Amino acid sequence: MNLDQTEFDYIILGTGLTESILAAAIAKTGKSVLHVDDADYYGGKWAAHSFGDLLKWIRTQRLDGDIANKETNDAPPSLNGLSIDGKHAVNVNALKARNESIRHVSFFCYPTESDNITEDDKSTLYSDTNILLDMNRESPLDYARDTIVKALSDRFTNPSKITKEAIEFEVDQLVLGFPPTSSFSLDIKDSIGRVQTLKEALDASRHYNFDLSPKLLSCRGEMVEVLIKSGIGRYLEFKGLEESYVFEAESQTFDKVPISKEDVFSTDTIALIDKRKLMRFLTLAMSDEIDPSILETYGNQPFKTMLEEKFKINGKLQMAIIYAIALVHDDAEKVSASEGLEKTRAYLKSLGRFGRCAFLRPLYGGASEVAQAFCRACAVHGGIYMLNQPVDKFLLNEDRSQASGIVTRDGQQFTSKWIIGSMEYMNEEWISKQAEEESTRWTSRAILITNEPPIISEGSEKENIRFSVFPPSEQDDIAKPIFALQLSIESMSCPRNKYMTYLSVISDEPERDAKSELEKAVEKLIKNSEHIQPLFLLYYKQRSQESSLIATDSIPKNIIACSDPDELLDLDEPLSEAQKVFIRCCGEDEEFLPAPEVDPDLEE
Amino acid sequence: MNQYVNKKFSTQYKATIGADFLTKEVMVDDKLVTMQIWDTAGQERFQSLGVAFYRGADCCVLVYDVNTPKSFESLSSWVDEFLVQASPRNPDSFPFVVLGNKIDVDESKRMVSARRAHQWCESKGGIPHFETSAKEAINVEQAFQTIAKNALAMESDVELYSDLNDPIRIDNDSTNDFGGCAC
Repeated sequence: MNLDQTEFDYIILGTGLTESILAAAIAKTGKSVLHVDDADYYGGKWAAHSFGDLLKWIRTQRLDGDIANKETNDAPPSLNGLSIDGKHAVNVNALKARNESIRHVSFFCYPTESDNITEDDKSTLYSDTNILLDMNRESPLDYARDTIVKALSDRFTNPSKITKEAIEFEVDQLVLGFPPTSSFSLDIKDSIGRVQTLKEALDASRHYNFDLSPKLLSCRGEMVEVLIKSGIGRYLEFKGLEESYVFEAESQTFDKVPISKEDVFSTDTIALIDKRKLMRFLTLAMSDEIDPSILETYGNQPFKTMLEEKFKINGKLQMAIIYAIALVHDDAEKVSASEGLEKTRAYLKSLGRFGRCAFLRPLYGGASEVAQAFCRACAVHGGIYMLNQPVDKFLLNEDRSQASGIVTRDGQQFTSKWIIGSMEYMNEEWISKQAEEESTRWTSRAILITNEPPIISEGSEKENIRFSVFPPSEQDDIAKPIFALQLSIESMSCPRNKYMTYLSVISDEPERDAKSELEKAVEKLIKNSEHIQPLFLLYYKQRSQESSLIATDSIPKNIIACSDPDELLDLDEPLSEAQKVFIRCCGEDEEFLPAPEVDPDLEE
Repeated sequence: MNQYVNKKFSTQYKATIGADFLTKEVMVDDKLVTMQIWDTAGQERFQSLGVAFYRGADCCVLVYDVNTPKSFESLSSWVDEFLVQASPRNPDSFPFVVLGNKIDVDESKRMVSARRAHQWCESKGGIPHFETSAKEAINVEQAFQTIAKNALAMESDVELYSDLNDPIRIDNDSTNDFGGCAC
């Protein structure tokens, strides 16, 4: 992959959202941009994967946990500090850094039976499912693996490539938990069922979009404004988030959260007196001039206190306001009344702009779709794109205060005045150990695939995009609010008649596994209806590092880092970071993503 | 594509959002349909188009330069790439159209004969093939007519997703501002 042009104004590393916004904004100013990603897909840590790619991702994380380390060892000896053509070389290993940002991956596949299976097939599939594994031998795990693969393959007549892939994945998962020696008898009945579940999903692989950092766009957020103004929104299509719910611990039910006036009046989950209180609060939150005496009294007190004392709002209504309307992610005690009012107001203002919803979900993936729209805009303005192009080194000048360019794995050198990159492209030594603790956060995430929508209320469409919050509850051992976003074919997130639910919670304990923090909520989703059959369940813990943990005195002055995806739902934070970086490296005078010039040729 | 929609030709790529993504209303068998045409914006150069580009396409138009054999020879890998990335429901019958462009250049410079291209298209299950000149507007209208017709004949997505709500588009025209709060 050789490119004749080797000098650029800007080199951008990583196609995550923040970098992609910058790529578009910079290319638009007329500067030359080279945009590189080591992966063969767009999005970096913001990417959405097909089912097949998700299985590969799981393999990388679980089975070949140290693949990135292995690669480093295979790579040429470290050139850190050595020089190339009189320049200092500093190593980059984005793949390794990206893998290190994920922990505690556990994946569950549930056995099912294919629809089009005949009785004859069934008897072949399930005849004598016990196999004896004599592990007292050399390489017992390889033997076990081969034996089970064969035992499974024999049951499927003419196994297709996809069936074989399903079998391989199932067996690799299975042997992970095997004792190294001692012989035992294994019932492969469930494995046969899991292979069928895997096969069906692999057949529809690209109809699944597993979003590793699921996001929404607030209808009145800055991101929507920028997309509209710049014309980049034309590349995208969205669906609205139709319904919000709050899980009520006492009744163990999902209660719909009323948003509009009509909702408030028509809902039967709220008593009449509570409806009045709610309307009073919503009216206050929306009014342009809030009575200063209220802010004086409650402004700095917790949001909760204001709701209780000023509006007499308690119990589940209070939970609904704090977590499902103001969307408080963390400890409610930390949120002041003025902050809570601001958040409520932001939510209410978003309603009605594009129909009834406050949030939009891009079709197919999430933030990675938005990132790809920005990348296309960059390309339209002359930016050059190279995916699947690992970057090996930065080249720095003598005193290491400036970078002159990069060296790719292929050995090609590119120079530029500025280099912008996502966190995984930064050298470890630039990270301030001091700041690391406070600028690193962890989010526990789960993705649940089911055959029926777990969150639903009577009379509403199965396919609607829904959101639910599980407020903190001692009874259910939920310490921080857990957010659940349920998607479907409506948002092109998964095949028809499948439902994809994303769960997330902020985690204060990096060592605690994601499963233990989310399984209570997952259980409630699965048990919400007896018809729900889970198909897949993935847990993982995602690290989010802010660019602020890069020590400014250790990184060359013309390299700028962009933060990881955060735990928040909307996309305004990465946009705001992109705007700041833009000012830093393009100057105050350049306009950030201005409206496109009207092409007289296109005027009809 | 600019020739077809705007009856204009320029040797320079127009760096304007909107110029890479044109819409045209076209009559196909007495039905008025709106066709959206997306170009690759140069991202194809290092195989970096990305899955978002391919999604939801109803027809794939592959253009080669009749004066550059390499552009013709890579068509096969682009067909494969498209089918993998777009993952259409019926890969065997998905409509492709192949255009051999720049036939306005001197005949002596031509490297890919019409016969050779035609044979290749036949071998791929009879892909419609046109030789065109975007500059001189030769065959452009006919080619796009075929593209529209074949894309419409599929109607796959339209039928498949007809029960779903229309997606929300966000551009200046489609903003339905109801003036804030719905309370």
